[in-house]
Parts: sequence; structure tokens; C-alpha cells
Amino acid sequence: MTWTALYQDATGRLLSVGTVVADQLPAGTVAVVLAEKPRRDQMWDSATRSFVPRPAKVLVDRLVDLRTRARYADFRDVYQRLSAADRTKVRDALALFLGRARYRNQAESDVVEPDE
Amino acid sequence: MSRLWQPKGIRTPAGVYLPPVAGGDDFSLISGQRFDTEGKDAANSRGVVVGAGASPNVKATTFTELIASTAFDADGIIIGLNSINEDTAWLVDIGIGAAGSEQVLIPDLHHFCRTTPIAYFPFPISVPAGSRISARAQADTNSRFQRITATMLAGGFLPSSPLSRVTAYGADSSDSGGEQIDPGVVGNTKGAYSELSAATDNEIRSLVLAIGGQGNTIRVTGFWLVDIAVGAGGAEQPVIIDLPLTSEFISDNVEPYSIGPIPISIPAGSRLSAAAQCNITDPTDRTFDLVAYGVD
Repeated sequence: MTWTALYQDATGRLLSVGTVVADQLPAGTVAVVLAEKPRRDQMWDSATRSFVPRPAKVLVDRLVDLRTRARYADFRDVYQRLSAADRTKVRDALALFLGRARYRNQAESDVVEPDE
Repeated sequence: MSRLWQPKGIRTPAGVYLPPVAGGDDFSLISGQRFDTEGKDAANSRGVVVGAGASPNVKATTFTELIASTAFDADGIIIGLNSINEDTAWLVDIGIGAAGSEQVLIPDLHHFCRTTPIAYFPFPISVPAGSRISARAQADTNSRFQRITATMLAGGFLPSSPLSRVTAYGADSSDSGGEQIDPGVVGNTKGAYSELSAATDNEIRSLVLAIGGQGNTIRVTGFWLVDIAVGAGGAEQPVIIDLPLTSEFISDNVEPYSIGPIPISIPAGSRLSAAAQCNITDPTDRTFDLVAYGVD
């Protein structure tokens, strides 16, 4: 089964991916045969007209938010006065408390469930 | 002006008079509507527990019975999938037939749950009275369990259905997912068509769609519009246009989990594909999985 990518010649924009291609393509459409079906961890790059690795998701640790963001200055002041051992205890407890909410998307608020 | 005569109330066999329902309309006594969630665990107010195969992304070797014998001729069935485990991708077969001789009635129902909601999949297919209904599943992680319900429907809203077969297009057994749909880097602009099937096995007279979140457990809020198309690459014609989806950063699910059944006519041998647009362009959060179920 041969996989083919169709893209717009002028812009490199991907139009279709599949194994069945029309006999007559619209004007300005380029067909490129792929070695295999594109994988989930790949995405189309219109500049190179090829599939490239999809960037890994970048997550932000809310424990870092607590230590660096201005709205948590009071927490930071207290935290910095702790001994190294006590800081570890606080970090571990917060990590347990936050659970899966510990990591957020870059575009997401540092507040776990902000009011609308 | 003449008016259509309507009964003012009914008298039960015991002679008790029941007045008409407030608003003036009576329930029809001839529609034959019947609904029964026969596949359930009533003692615990939930579905029947069905385990995934022993290995990741491998179907269980045996079916688990949901209903020993359906009580009436059904015109439709609604399957409810409720994963006990979070962050799990599923493909579930619904079987019909005696133990050890099950035939797959509905193949590869896809469900990814970031949390543990219930996904409902309605299918307008006929199921004869006396049928044994069962399920088997695979998950992307071993030791996973689903609670599954089967609601049988007859008459009324769904008149006698000539449809009886369900075919899945786009299911990916290697990861218990579906076909990845990528709206691309340009926001709010339809992305490329992804092929669900090079040539549909059977005619399609109704379409049900399953939407999956691809194991992405930290999503931003997003909105999509999805097209389903027919035709060869470069000549796709959208036949279902702009179905809305959404993801929300708290639940991290892409919803709704299922859409349909959508009445539609697509000949056997057609190339089926899907495309979407999204308001976000994050390379991992903009994508989702889709499986289409053709009913004929």
C-alpha cells in the first residue's frame, strides 16, 4: 500500500494523505510518495514539504510557579527561610497534594482551577 | 374548523380512569416503545465489568456476557462505555451469539478517557429477541477494566430498522486508538484530509463517530470543526461538515466522545476521510483520534 501526500505547490500546505489519489489533481497540487504512513509523532512541515518530528509537549511544573511567580511572593519568602531538609519536605508534600495537577501546559494558568 | 378527535384519557383494565397528561397530548398506546438497559450490574448501579486483554493492545480472548437473552426485538442499541481506569485508550467489540460462538456485532468501539466519564454509542441496528450480547476489549495498558451497559430500544423514536451491520473505519489496534486528525499549523483553517478507509467494505446508511484524546493527559482548552469526506485524495468532497468538538483544560478530554448516528448514504468502495480545523495550533493539543462506524 503506497502512501501519498498531496500539497499545494505555492505554499507547501498539506492537503491530503492517503493511499488513493485522484487521476487528475487540481492545478498547483503536488503529489509525493511517502516511504510509509506518517506516524503520530510526525507532522507536516510546509517549508521542507516533508514530514518532520512533532515537537514534544513542554510542561511547566507548578512547584516552579510557586517559587518564581510574583503572586506567590509570600510563599517564596517563607520557603527561602526553611532549611534544605524542610524545603524537601514541603516540596514532597505539595507534589503529593497536587497529583496530576502538578504539571500544566505552557498556555494554561498556573492556578489549578482559576475562577472564570 | 374541524379538529382531530383526541382521547381525553384512558381507563386501565382495572377500571381506573387516568386523565390526559397536562398539556393536552396523550402518550401513544400503539408506538410499542420499549427501552431496557439489560446489560447492567443493578446491584452496584453500574455496567458489567469487562477486562481488557492480558497484554496491551491485544483483545481479550473471551467475550464477557452483558445480556444472556434480550427480552424483545430491538431496533437499536446504545452501548455505554465507562472505564474504571483513567488515562486509558480502549477498543471494544460488542458480540452477539452463544458463548464460544460469538460474532462481532459492533467492532472496535474507541474510547479514550482522561478521567472516567461514560461514552454512549447509539447504533440503529436490529437485534432479535433472545440474543445473547457480550463484549471483549483491548486497552493500551494491561490490567484495565471497563463497565459496559447495553440499552436495547424498540419502536417509537426508532421504527423497525432494516440496518444490521456495523463496520469500523480508522481503528488502530496497535495503540487501541483511531486515525489521527491534524488540523495543521494554521489556526481556524481546515487541515489536510486523513484517510479513514481507502475503500469502504460495505454501503454506509448511517454513520457513528468515536472521538479520542490520544493519551494526551494535559490539554489546553480547544475547539474544532470536523468534516467527513468521500472521494480520492485531491478530490475529496465533504459530506458531513463542521461537527464541533471541544477540549477543556480541567478534564483534558476531547468531547463529545461519540457523534451520531447520522443518516447518510455512501456507496461501498468509497474512500472515506476526515479533516478538521482548530482554534489552537499547539502541535500536540490540536490533534485527536477519530474512528468512523458505517452502519448498513
